[in-house]
Amino acid sequence: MFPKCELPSGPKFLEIDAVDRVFPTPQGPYVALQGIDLTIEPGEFICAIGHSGCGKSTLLNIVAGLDRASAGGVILEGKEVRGPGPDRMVVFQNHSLLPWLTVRQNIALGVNRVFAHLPKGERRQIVDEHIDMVHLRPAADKYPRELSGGMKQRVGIARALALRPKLLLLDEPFGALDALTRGRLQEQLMEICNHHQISAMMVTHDVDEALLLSDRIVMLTNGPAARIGQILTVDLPRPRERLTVVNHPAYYRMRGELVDFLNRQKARKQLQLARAKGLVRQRENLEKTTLDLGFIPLTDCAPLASPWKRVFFADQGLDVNLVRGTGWGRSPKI
Amino acid sequence: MNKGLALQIWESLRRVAIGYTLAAVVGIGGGIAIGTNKLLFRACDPFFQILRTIPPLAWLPIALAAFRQVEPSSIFVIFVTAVWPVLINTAVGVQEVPQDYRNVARVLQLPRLQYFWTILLPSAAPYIFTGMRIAVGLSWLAIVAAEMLTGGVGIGFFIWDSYNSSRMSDLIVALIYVGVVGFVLDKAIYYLGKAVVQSDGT
Amino acid sequence: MTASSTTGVAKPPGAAKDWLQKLGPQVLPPLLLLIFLLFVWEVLCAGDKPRLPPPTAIVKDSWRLISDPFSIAAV
Repeated sequence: MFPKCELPSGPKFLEIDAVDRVFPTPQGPYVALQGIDLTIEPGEFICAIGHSGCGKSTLLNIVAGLDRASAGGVILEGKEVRGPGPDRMVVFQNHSLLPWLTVRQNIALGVNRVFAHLPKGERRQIVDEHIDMVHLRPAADKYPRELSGGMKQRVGIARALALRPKLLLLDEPFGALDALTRGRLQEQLMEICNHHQISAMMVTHDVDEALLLSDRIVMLTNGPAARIGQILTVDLPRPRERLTVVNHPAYYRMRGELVDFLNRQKARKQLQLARAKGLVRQRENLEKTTLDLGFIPLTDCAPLASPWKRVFFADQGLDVNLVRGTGWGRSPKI
Repeated sequence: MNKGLALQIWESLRRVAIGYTLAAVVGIGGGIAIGTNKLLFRACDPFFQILRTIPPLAWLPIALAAFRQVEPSSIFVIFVTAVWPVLINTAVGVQEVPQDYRNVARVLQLPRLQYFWTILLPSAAPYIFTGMRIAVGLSWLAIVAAEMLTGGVGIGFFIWDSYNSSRMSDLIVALIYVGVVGFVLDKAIYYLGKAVVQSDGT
Repeated sequence: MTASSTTGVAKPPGAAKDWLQKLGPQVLPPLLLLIFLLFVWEVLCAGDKPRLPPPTAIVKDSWRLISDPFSIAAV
């Protein structure tokens, strides 16, 4: 679809190169991200998905330049990202509109800054064009507090797009919205991105949202030291529609892959917690020992599962943990 | 008695207006300066915390000694009463600009001056008006007390004079006037703030 | 190795240094400002018959008040 660069080592559109992010805490350094490598092609829509707290927003902030990588770096069109700038405009999770400016003024703030060289009329035209793009003409002179959550987020998107950014960054932009508004906004965003060939990187924890919008989905493992666990290429044909895309034969396979990845991350975390607990118990009372029974097929585990559900073991002072696994091979190791 | 109550109050209000305006200008300016500069804030804060607890009337003798006139002394007392709440609230308001708005400014690479007018000042405005509202109440308290001591004109002197001449009815009328004017001043600043500040509403 | 041994030796003064490093940024700026303000005050009230006494004069004239707050004898 896009003219491929002849040289494999030629400058990429966006390159995230071995990015680490370590936060100093009073308990010692906390590694949030470790060894993140990713390239984004022009016009590509990338979603980063993962459980909350896995560092996906941190990654986005590093690309935006709002945060600095502890090691490694981000290169946009051959230039290293050293700070925030309007070429990587962000749509913030909580819209971040300035409450003392109207919709028009909020959008104009950036436009006047970035297109300072254009005459006034042209700048106004850009603002109007983007107000129309998100269908907010009737609300153009209203203040943010007079708008609904969805409308505010649309203003946020319009504000970002009006600056014609090279890369649009979206930090869970629809997280705080109700399902209906969310769906409508997803479609609008997709339409705009397709129409204007916008490169975008979005952070989300919604599997369906990621599948609908992305060309590729980057799955992050749970922190600490989160890294890219898997990258899923979403080859659903475009243009996509929210209601019909689920009928594509590949949709549920990909959805299953994503959900499975997220579940495994969750299970791993629970196991880590359980293991930590078990060790503490052992130290408290040496007579109690930890026993790992391994994988038990569904029917065979009934004698364990039903008393477990009735909190029988806990009453007897036994600490029994049942973790749902998918088969012998996937049995999580303790 | 040679002057009516409204004229007496007008005299007091004039002094309050001058002292209060000075305090607002110095308070907002100084507050922004120490709010944006951490080092300056650390250096000044202990002094402000001590100075602001000195009662207004305790400043009066030193003001009289320095200015040797009643008028500037009363204005100074108003100023020194009103400046601390404005100063401290402004500084806090400037420090508390939400990270979201700072991020917007950073991404747009707003120049310093534009950041000041479009983000810092509007964001700190609610704090500034809170400080100004506290200050106007304190100024009104201080002027009545100061005028009782300095004499001459003003509603404070009128009250003291009424007491000395045993005109209790006049005194009570004056008190009601003082209360009503104080209430109006407070509400005036409140509505001014409401008209100027565009808050989030969430 | 040498680094660890030097830090081990410097431990007791290191603690004092830590304390100073923590408190320094809190205490030093107000202290410097105080000295500066006292200086300005001194200069402003340096005339022959100033309206307000400069800090040095205050300390000299009111020394009894400053040094002996619990004095019972009449001044």
